[in-house]
Amino acid sequence: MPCVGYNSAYVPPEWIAAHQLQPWRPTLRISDAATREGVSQDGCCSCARAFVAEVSSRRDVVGIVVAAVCDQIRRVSEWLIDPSSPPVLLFHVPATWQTSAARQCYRDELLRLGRFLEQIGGQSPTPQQLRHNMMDYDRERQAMRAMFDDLRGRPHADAVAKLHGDMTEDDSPAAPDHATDESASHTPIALLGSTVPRYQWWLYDAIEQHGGRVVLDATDYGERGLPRPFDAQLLADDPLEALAAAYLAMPHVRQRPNDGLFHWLHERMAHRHVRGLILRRNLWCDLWHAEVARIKASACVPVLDLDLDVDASAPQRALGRIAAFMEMLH
Amino acid sequence: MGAPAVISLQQWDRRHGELCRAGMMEPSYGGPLGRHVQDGDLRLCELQFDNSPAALRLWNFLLSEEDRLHDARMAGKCIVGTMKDLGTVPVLAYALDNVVAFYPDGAWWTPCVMRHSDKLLRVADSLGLDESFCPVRAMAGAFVTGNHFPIPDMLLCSVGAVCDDFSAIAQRIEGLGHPIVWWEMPPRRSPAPGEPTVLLPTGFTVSPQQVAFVSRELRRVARALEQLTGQRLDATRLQRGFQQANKVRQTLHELRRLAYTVDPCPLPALEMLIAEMLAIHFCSDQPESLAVLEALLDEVQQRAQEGVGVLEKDAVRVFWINPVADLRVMNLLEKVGGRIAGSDYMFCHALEPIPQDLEPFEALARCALSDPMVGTVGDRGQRACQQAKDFGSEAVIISRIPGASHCAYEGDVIGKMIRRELGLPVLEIEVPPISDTVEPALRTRLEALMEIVHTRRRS
Ligand code: SF4
Ligand code: SF4
Repeated sequence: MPCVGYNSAYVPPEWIAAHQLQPWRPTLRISDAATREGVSQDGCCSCARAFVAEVSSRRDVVGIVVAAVCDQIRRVSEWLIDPSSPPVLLFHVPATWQTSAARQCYRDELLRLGRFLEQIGGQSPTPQQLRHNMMDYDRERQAMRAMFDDLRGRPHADAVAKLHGDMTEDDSPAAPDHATDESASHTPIALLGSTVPRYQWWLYDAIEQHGGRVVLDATDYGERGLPRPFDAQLLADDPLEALAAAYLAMPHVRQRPNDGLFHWLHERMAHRHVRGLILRRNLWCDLWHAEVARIKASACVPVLDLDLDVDASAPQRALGRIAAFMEMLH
Repeated sequence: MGAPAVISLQQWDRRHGELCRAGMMEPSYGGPLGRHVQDGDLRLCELQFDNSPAALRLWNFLLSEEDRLHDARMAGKCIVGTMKDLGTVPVLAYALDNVVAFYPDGAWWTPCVMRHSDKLLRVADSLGLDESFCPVRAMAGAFVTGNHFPIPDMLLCSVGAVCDDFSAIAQRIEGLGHPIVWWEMPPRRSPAPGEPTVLLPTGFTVSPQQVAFVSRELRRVARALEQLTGQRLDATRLQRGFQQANKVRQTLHELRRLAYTVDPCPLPALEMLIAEMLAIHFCSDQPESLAVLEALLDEVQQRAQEGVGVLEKDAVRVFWINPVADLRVMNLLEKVGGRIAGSDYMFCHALEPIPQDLEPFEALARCALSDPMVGTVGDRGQRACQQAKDFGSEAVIISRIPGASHCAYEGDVIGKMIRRELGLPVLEIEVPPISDTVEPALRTRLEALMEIVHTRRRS
């Protein structure tokens, strides 16, 4: 089935699948993705770059959907526009998520996305087909939620990646000297931030190696990036509206206001008895960077702010800091 | 009044005395410029100014804005802090009685003007907003210290297709206990094939669906203002508001036309940058901003008529992209033999007249969507090419703003477009809030650009 690449949890894979196209959200394997010629890497988010590199590398991609969740990704999306590349749709996700206008805007964007999918070979679904796809995905997500208690860290990230169509084996490098003592008890950790790219999944190992375990993955690929279950009545009456309502409500640092993220986080952290919070952010990501102080001030547990670059020494530096943080928690 | 010239602060203060003795009448905020140095505006000592009374009035008007805001608070007026949209919401606010709107974003320049004595960047640092953010982080410092502007009765901020720096810092400000009414600005997109097209005042095109969405958002903003003030923003008020705003925009249009085309250059780059900024929010006094611009226009018209200016004839004609964090760099351009011939200081949508033959919110939505920063870099580059051509520019300078998230993506793309489409030399520089340490290097690069243009003229 022809494939549609997309970058964000705000793009519903079931909507793409309902159009008889294969949704694929790359998990970002390319750590040293180049910028466009002439654009300095300084100031340029490595995840945004990695998305462009990875989505352009697959031959069966017939269209690319870029959700403009931040200014960087909005601008990077222009790099993909090229006569020799698949068509690109810039998908607007309203930051003002609480108003009815925002909901309508998001719904209109879904409809526009639908027209785009038809143009690139997709087929418009009947409400029944859409409902069917939505229920399938909803069930998978429910199953995933149920697994949260025993599927942790890297395996959990891999399961979410598969839900988003990234079926390839997890071949990303482990943390150096990775040897986890499975029998030992682990300090419950929450991992917060944007996407943890696959090339940094060693983070999960590193946390375990030092006696921690990610019990709350609040990154974009984690639990935070899963929409709430669809409202059954709305699903029956108006599936597109149910889709819009569930997806737009996902908590994110970019929302304005973004109090929803803090409420969601604190509630989940309390529920999972989290004892330490690791904020993993990209070096040039303003949206997370600006919130560091607020996250620290509002969390009831110690916080490690891990700004990760992609240079060769980044893993070693991060490992040292994780080790010190975990030691402090013990 | 003497021949046009650029003079130092000391010279201005002497001249101020002479002009007063000769009977110069000044508005209430008038006076010698040097007094602002006592208030902490230390960078003034290192700037060069136009020597006309009209320029003096412009500077005094700009530098007295904080006093004006505090006076407005004392007088019981509603103070509205408009954020990020640069030119749209103030038009709504000024259509109401007893409302003063201003941009807290203006703190962007405070570290430069006060030569860091304001310590705003240090306060921003303490909030975790370090130099990886653009100078607008000074705004967060101003909210914390409360020393620069009165805390507004209401804050309104556009989000969506805005820079991450601003969105992130505004959210921090809200997190510090200053509630914000957020309104959505989607990324401008051209209409899909077969979809009707709306032509915007800045020449970009957009889909009617986006115009309708933004006009609904602006209605929501209007309702918030109505609730705050207890007044109705009806069509009559809005049309009157548009008329007032358009007077400012039209005056500025003529001023730009003359200042950027007449040779010798009739008004320095620095005064023109400030004059352009008046269009955004009228410097907290709409009627006075018009009077200030009209006085400048009179001066420039007279100089043009007499064939006199502030620079040598044939100065190199430069199109300038992005505002400079250090105002002194505008002086530097002229010192090395350049002049401004066209600009995109990121708010060209605030310079175009608001259409008055449309439903008011639709008209304003079209203006808001004209913002060069909410569209693609390609759109912005195309417009810069067109403007540089119209103004007969001979070179283009793209001024990077330290920490600004968009700058990493724009400069190269726009530079290439200009080279390809106009064949003009392009220089990309980065200007920090106080550029003294980089000035020698900056000067050398500007001089090299001037030399390239001179060589091209000779060949
Ligand atoms: S990590 Fe931050 S800057 Fe990068 S794409 Fe995500 S939100 Fe944007
Ligand atoms: S200078 Fe650029 S990054 Fe800074 S607030 Fe303005 S648009 Fe945003």
